[in-house]
Amino acid sequence: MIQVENLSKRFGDIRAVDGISFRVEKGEIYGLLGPNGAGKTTTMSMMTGLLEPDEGRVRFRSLDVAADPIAFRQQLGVVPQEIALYEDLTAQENLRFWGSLYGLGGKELKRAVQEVLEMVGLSGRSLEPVKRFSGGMKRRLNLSLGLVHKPQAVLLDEPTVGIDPQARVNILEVVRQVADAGTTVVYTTHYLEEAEGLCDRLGIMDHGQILAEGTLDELRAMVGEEETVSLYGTFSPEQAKLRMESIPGVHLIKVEPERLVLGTGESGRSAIDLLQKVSDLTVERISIQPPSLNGLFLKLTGRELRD
Amino acid sequence: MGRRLGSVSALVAKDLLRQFRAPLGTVLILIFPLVFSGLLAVSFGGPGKGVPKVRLLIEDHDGGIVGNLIRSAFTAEQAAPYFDLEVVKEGGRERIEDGSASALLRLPKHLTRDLLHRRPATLELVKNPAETILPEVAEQVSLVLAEVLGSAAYVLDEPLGVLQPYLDEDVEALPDATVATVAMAINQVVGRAEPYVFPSVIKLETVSLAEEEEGSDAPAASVTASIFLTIFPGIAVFALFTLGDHLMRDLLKEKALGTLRRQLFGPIGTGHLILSKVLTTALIAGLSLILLAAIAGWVAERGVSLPGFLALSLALILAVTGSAAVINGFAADERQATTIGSVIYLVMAFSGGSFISLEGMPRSVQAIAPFSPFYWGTEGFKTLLLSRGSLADVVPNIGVLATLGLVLLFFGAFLLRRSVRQGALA
Repeated sequence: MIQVENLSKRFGDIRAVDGISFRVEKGEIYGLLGPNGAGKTTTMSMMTGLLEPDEGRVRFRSLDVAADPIAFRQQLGVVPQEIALYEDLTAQENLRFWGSLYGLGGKELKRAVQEVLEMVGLSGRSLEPVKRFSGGMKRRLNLSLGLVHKPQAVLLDEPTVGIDPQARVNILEVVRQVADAGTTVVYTTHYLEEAEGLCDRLGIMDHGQILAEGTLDELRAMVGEEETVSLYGTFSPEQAKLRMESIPGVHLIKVEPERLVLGTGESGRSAIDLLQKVSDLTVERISIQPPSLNGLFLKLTGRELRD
Repeated sequence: MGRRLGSVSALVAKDLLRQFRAPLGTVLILIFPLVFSGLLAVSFGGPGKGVPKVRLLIEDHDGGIVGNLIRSAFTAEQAAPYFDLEVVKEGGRERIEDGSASALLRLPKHLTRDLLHRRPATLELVKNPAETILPEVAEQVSLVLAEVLGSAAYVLDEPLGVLQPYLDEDVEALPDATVATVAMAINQVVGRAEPYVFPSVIKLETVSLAEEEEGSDAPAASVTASIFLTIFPGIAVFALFTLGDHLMRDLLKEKALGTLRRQLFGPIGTGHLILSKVLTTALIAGLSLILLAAIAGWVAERGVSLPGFLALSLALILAVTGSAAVINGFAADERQATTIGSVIYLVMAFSGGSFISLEGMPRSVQAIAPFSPFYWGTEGFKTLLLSRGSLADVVPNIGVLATLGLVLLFFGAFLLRRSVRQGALA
């Protein structure tokens, strides 16, 4: 079990992580979902003990990470966002090095390397230099380096960035397999589909804070049946605000000169009512977001995950 | 403790394997001193036949004693290996223009008579513009001759005065008694003046080498080998420093690759990571030094003092590793490290006499040479290799290099630690 308590980190005037807390149980996949710059990677760096937090602490079982980071890292596997491999070495040599760094040796190391190569589907290419691998293969190898020593907890920082769908499916399958074997997994991503399909519980993160947390069902319940409607055009903010407040079942989420973000009461019906009532406004485009995590993010932050 | 040693050995093994898989940079650096020294040795030494000769033409319009003296000077035992002399009556300038000679020395009419009467005389030297070094040699030797002859005219005034009547009468053969009188007088004057008139103005290292070889049983090294061995220690020291820098730069490469950060996610500390890079650098530099020394020993066809060589090598490796640690610790990235390293090493190599012997340098450069570790390394290996020095002879070199190496290593480790932490968090 990993427990993060009131973790904070500032870089100058920027509060990168602002008092976040969460807990991940054994065999659970906990997703940190948020746009780029939300503070996910900084959180990961503090969780590994590499970056010292200004406040708060991370505990793994009974171990305080700050007190003994080396002992914690011995039981931890990390898959960084960037592909960090030795391209002149073969896949097998890369794995043997990372395994030996964690104290594996002899037959145990050989077996661990073979197992993880099969797990990520690279056993047939294990003796080739990594520089000959495709981007997807490198991503899979990148993942396997964090798993070769059979860690009890794994931190994965956006491990599927920039790869083909097939390699992505393989990586997600491996992560699920690892969690099913009892490993505690923390997974950061800004892909909604990944978070929805993979994670047991999610923390929605933005500007260094966890805005909402729970299982997928719990988070969906927070959105309710409400649709999120974005109107694009040219608006006078004050006038638009007054106008929207006069429409029953509609509440304003965000007002910008070129965009209005609204929450509508009941699915389907209220969006149509809304369109009829704003026909005199200069609306160039309309976007309706059904109840989803993106809708929740939009509701919580006023912007979409991809913004 | 055992666990930490295991991690460090895993890191070193990985770095050695990476060097083995991508050896181009290391091999090129190691080949450099061999190619550089070899080319210079072959260019100036030839395949054991001595240095290329200066093809000198002399147009003797004097035909007197002084003209004969000058011609004899170029064919004397010491000068003969360096000069291919041809006396011509006319057409010397044309020979220079068609490139068949390096220089033409014109002896004017009445040179002997002018000299005996202490009248000014001018020797004209025409140099081949297509050549650089050989005509320069001819010019320098001619200058020395002109100085000597000018001085001799004053110093030998009395004995030469005896000759004057005969010269004015164009007598072909002098009486034996006159020759004996003049010879004795000249011998006495020369003997008295020798310490002042003939100081060793130009010192050639090849001369001292040959003298050393005379007393030993070892076969005399060829001129090519001598030149190679004179140049090689300095260039090899430069190459070792460059190699150390190249190897330590791997830390910055790993910083850019992201593998540095990834390693720190593992159960190792920053100190382990730096220690492993230092050990890898020292190990490869040590093996390279042994390889270069073996080649130098093979060329020299003799061994060197083993304790001296081992102690000096260890001290040099400390200095190499320490310097590399400081340079790469200061630099923010690979490009910056390359620039800083190249500038610092080139300046230190030139000022330390690695490229050009310090004896040919200005006094100001000679004065700052001891501040360069290259100086202590180059001079140390020259002492062992060329002067057959012992451990005792290179103790100062060992002391300076080891002390400097340790200081730089501690400072470099501090800088690298800071750099690694920044790189890990980048």
